[in-house]
Parts: sequence; structure tokens; C-alpha cells
Amino acid sequence: MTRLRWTGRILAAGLGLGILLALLVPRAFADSVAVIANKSVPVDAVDKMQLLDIYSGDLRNWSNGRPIVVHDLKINNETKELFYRHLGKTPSRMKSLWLKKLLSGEGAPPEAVETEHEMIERVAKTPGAIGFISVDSINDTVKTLAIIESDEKKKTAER
Amino acid sequence: MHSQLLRLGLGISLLLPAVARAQIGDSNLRMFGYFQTSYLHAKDAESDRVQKSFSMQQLNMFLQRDLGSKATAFANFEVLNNFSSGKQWGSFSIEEAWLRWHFDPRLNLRVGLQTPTFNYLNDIKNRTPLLAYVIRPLVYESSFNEIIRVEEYLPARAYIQAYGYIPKGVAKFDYAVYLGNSPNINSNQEYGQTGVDTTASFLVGSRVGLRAGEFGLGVSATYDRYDFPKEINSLIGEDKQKFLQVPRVRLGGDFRYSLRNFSLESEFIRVNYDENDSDLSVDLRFYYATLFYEPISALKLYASYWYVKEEQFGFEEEIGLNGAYRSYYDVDYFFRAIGGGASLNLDDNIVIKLQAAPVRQEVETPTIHNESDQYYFAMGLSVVL
Repeated sequence: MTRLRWTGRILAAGLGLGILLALLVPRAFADSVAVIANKSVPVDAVDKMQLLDIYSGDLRNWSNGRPIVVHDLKINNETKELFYRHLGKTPSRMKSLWLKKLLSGEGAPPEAVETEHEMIERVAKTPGAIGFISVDSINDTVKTLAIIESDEKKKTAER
Repeated sequence: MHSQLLRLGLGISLLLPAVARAQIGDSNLRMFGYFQTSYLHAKDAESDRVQKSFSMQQLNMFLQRDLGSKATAFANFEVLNNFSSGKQWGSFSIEEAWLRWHFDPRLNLRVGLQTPTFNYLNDIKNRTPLLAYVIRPLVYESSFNEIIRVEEYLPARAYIQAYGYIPKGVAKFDYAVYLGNSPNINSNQEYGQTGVDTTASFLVGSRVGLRAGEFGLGVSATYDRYDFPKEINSLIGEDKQKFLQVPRVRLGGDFRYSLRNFSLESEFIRVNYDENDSDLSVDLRFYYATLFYEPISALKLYASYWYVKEEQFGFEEEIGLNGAYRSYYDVDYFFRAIGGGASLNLDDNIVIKLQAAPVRQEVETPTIHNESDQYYFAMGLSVVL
């Protein structure tokens, strides 16, 4: 029984430490994120469900049969946080999903790039590519499929 | 035996051209894998006997090659428990070697040796970097084969499987249908070739499921025929037909749900044998539930409950004046573990794991009642290569 109590205490201490860590980690989100694609992509817009299917590896080809080349940011910045929050996932949950696909032979993780500048360059020159950047970084080398706005920005716009 | 050699030959002949082309340098052949090394500390509550052991629990290497935009070839080589052929430790096996056609999200076809879809965990039970556990929920823990015959609870192999999902609004309906053999394991050299006899019978199975956002559930079932171990058959004599080609039905259910930083996963499995004899009864039940909490993205804390209940049979053989006399009796086995642990992702490729669980086991026959308590503590390191 003593050991049972100790096991319980260790678990409770771990849980308490975890909650404390969660409260201490600051969270910030970007204002707006643009979903961008290579100009060869046969669609002009994507909705949330399609984006989730693409980024979770469930949807692998565009309607013209061309493979979808998915891009992700290596670093966890505000743009990435807002993008995945819009999909209803955390970056870590998406990573688990991609690792599961990889180790099951069901797909590969997205191509990871270091910066948003590199994201635009890669998407612009890769047929079938899709990615995301902050709205401020959009240029005419890529196609914009969707704009994702943070809740704060939506509230400001409503006022 | 001939069919096994033929399959192995076919598998190798499928892989060789890919490897040869890979050497030319124009290939998209990918090689990756992972390993998990662990430390297990087990203590018996009554005798205070302690077992401490380090082990290279598992190492898997994968080869994968896309053959055009619709087909993929995949091979999975698995090494278990400090494998050494010289010292006859552990095992090395081809776990998977299949070719998949991806026609559409609604239809994929996999042909070749593969792990069939049953509940949620069966597909990924050996993908240690995906799991927070060091010791997996009991029937998924192949290294605990001495405690529980895991191959009875789960379909181990299939050779052809169709699967996919059908989208309906925000929901996706998953399905998988597969065919395979019903492996019968012989570990006693007195009764012929040891290993898995995959020629005995036929297995058909399926899983249907529903996913919607962070919610998922599924129902699984398999039907096959099972030969009870040859040691039993040889003793049974004139009654042995009752123990051959016994129909076996597995039923499973799985449930997953995530809300903010919490997630819950749970499964049940029930295995029932139709022994053609009312005197004998085999009924196996397994249930587990795990609640995870992720305070930060790299850290998972969890509490888990595992429960196993088996109604099996035993038999006694006595030599009387008129020859061998056998009597059967019921054997009830009960296992329960309530534990918890943590896993920390140091980065995308390295996971450190801790786990602790007090375990209770009970065995009951008409004449014996045994109870025992053990405490397990385990540490693990999982690395994606």
C-alpha cells in the first residue's frame, strides 16, 4: 500500500509540474496567415476541411492527379501556431500524425523549410506545392488559396 | 514450408530490383527506422524478489519506394530483445513486405505481408516512437508473451487488405477488410518444426470506424479457425478433433477523444472459441483506457488502466486400467494494472519515457487460488533513425 501511495504522489507531482509549466509558457499568435500554392495548382481556394485533409496526408493528389507537395515551417512561430490552430490541431499533434504516416508506410512528412522567404521560393518553383506564410509576405510568384485571420483580428474588424 | 519459401523468394525478388535501381542513383528509395532501448525493474510484493534488466527492446528498419504516383513498396525488418544469432537471443523477422496501390482516399489496396487493422493500436503497436508507453497495454506487449498469449487476442498477419475512408461532411468513415492465415504457434520441437505454422487455416477480418475532428471510434472483428497447441492434441488422443480447426471470433472496439491538452484512448477486445463441447470454455477479455495530459507540446503525462480476464481450461491425464483418462477443469485468470508515466520529446526524433505500474494477477482453478502483486518500473529511450 505504501508503494501505491508513492506512485500516486509521483503522478500527482508530475501533473502539478506540468500544469505550472503550461501556465508559464507564453502564447502568441499572428494576425493573419495566407495559404499559398504553386500557380500550377488547379484550384483557386481551399476550405478548412480540405486543408486539414491535405496537411494530415489524407488527400495526396490535386483534382488533376498531380501529387500535392506539402510544406511546413521548421520553427514554431506565430504564423505556424495560427495556421495549425485554425485546423484544430497543435503543431505537436500534427507531428505525431506525420510520424504515424511515415512509420506506417502511408506517407511522408511535409517538406520543412527554415523561413517564410524560403517557403515562398519553394512553393513558387515546385509544381503542386502548398504552404503557408504571414499575409505581409505574400507576393505574385504564388497563388493565394485562403486567408486565415486570428480571433483578435476578426473582433477588431467587427468593431 | 514450401509456400513460406516461395513467399520469401517472391518478397526478395520484389525488393531486389528496387535495391539494384537504388544503387544506380536515380531512385527515391528511402531507408529509415527507429529503436527503443529500455530498463525494466520488477519487484514481487510477497517475496521481494527483484528483476532488473536493460535491453535493446526493439529495432526496426524500413525500406520504402514510390513506384509512380499511385504505388508504394514497403518493407519492415524487426529485431527484438538484444538479438544475437550467435547467442540465440531475441529474434529477427520480416514483419511487413507489401505493395500498395493508392487509387483514391476511398480505396487503397495492400498486397503482401502486413499487420492487419484491428482496433486503433494494432497497426502501430510496434511503432515505439509514436507511443508514450515503455510497456504497451498488455495484449500489445509481445515481450510479455510468457504472461499472456498475445497472438490469441490480435490478428498478427494479413496478406491482402483493402482500406480507405469515405468523407461525409466533417466526418470520415474508415473501413478495412483483409484476408490472411490463422497462425498456430508451435514452440515444442517434439511436435515438428517450431515457429508459426501459417498453413493451418484462413482468417478474414474487418474494422469500420468514424473520425470527426478529435473524436474517433471503431469496431473490429475477425473470424478464423484455430488449432490448439499440438501438445494438447497429442494427449487428447481420440478426442483431438475437438481441438483442431476450432472457430474463433475476435471482437474489438476502440475510442479516442481529445479536448484541449487532454486526450483519452480506450479499447476492448473479446475473443471467443466455439469448442464444439459444452464441457470446455475459452473466453478472453481485454480492456484498457489511458488518459493523457500534455502541459506543453513536448511532454505527455498519462494514467492508464489495463484489465484482462480469461476463462480457459486445463486438463489432467491419469493412466487407469482401461487406458488414459482425462478430466477437464476451468481455469480463470485475472490481470489488472493501474499505472502511469510520462514521455518527453527531446526533439522530433528522440523520446524519453518513464512508466510505473502496480500489477495484480489471480489464477483460480477448482482446487487452487493464487494471488500475486508486482510493481513494475520502466524507463525507455526511443530514437527515430
